[in-house]
Amino acid sequence: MVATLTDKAYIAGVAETEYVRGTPKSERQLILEASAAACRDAGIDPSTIDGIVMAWKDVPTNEDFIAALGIKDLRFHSHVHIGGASPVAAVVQAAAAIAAGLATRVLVPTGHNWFSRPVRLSSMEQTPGGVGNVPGAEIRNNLENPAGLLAAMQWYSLHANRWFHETKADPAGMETVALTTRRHAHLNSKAYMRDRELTSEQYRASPVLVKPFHLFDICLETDGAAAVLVVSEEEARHMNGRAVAIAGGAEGHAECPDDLSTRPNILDMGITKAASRAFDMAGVRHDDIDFAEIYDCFTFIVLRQLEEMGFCDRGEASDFVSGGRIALGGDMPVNTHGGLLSQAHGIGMNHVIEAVIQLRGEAGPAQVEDAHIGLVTGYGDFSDGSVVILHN
Amino acid sequence: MTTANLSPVPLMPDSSLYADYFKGLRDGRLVAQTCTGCGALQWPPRELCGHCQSSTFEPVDVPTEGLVYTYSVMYRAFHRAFADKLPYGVVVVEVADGVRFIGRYAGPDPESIECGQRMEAVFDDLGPDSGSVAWRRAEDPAPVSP
Repeated sequence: MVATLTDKAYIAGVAETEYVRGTPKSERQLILEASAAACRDAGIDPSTIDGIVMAWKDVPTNEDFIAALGIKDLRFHSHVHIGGASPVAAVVQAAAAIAAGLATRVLVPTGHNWFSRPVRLSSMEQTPGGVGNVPGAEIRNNLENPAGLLAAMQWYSLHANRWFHETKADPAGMETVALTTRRHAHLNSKAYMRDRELTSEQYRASPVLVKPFHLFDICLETDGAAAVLVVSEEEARHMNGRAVAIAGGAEGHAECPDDLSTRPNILDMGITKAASRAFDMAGVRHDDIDFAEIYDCFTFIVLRQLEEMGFCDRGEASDFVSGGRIALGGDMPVNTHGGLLSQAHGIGMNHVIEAVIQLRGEAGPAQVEDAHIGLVTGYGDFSDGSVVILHN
Repeated sequence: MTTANLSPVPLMPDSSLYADYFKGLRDGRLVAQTCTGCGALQWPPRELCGHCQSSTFEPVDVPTEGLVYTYSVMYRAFHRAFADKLPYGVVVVEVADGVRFIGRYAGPDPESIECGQRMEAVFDDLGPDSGSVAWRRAEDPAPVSP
């Protein structure tokens, strides 16, 4: 039997805080504020939610949510811990809980003060083990850190450099992703880089921090939180008509999910397994996807996910993204909000929210014409993957 | 930041899982683990064998040379210990089927590292008993002993 969640759950409310560099508010406060705002966006009283699937973070706890939102009867909660793949996987888990009848109004929040934390992903002051919340502490501390491998951009470079070696992929696709998403951010009033132009000359002149990544291949570090509210079909029917249906979704994990070095093939990713499951469940094909919001902590990982999802063959993504295909107005616009690269590091919940906004037809100047089916991915830790397909 | 974090040497030397590995490095050997239940070679070390779920292992020496599977070259230091070493390389070297060791690159011209290059392990470039592993290209001239 093929498991299916198709149209059993809807995203009825979305909200995000401002994305800033520097905030006096704690992550807990920001996440709770985004959560309350997502309920209001759906037109419901926050005290009536009965489920929480916390994406990535341990705090706020379920107790924090109950206290802050005045929740009367929390029937279900869980935490999903697969890094940037968590928000999309958490949406799928919320849909599963709803389909199973465990809850009817499930909040899916996340947030992180990437900029204001004492330890930054990009920092010279990176302390061993300091990124936190990543799996495989023994591997990090005993094998990688002593070699000077400490930061996320270094992990991704191991993958990228092998990809270039095996496939002779054209690095031009990385620039295409950087420049395209920046132009999309100019249309988004909530984007951190809404007013900052990025030219090809600037991209190429920017320093290489870790081979092969220029500065503009690497996502932003911002502070902020975001949340969505997932509800049952019956609940959605009584809401304001803006709910967006979940057509299908899945998560996936690579072999050796805590160790890139010894994975039999470093090009194998969680999304390699998750994508076909999500497409099958949704009953759609690649050609049916009107737009895609693809987790973009690095430009190259957008290219790799397009390949692993089957939009093109391995090594061919630079061709796939050329000629304006992934720009607004192209065949399949990608990261219409600016993504992690140029909107903000919303841990990919900003990608889920953008897909909902597009399918509501509320994306303003960035609206994809005739948007009916949108795909969202998450990528986390050492290649965990998640995919959700939404429709209106 | 504590001074203990400033040196590129093992940060969890008390981890029992890695005791044989670190002992091997001090002796100039690379040590992985073999499952006594099914004979599978396992690296990195873990509590259970991923094939048969046995929890008993024997240390096994693996070759101290191999081919670069992948690598990185850093132009930014993410820790002060590496600030005066830029650009520096990190290589992942496959020494046996499915067994790859990550380590510092200690040879000349890190910007010319490529996948497929043959590397030899270096155990004492930070001094004797430093308990670390680095790699140099087999084709490069051997360093002159001090």
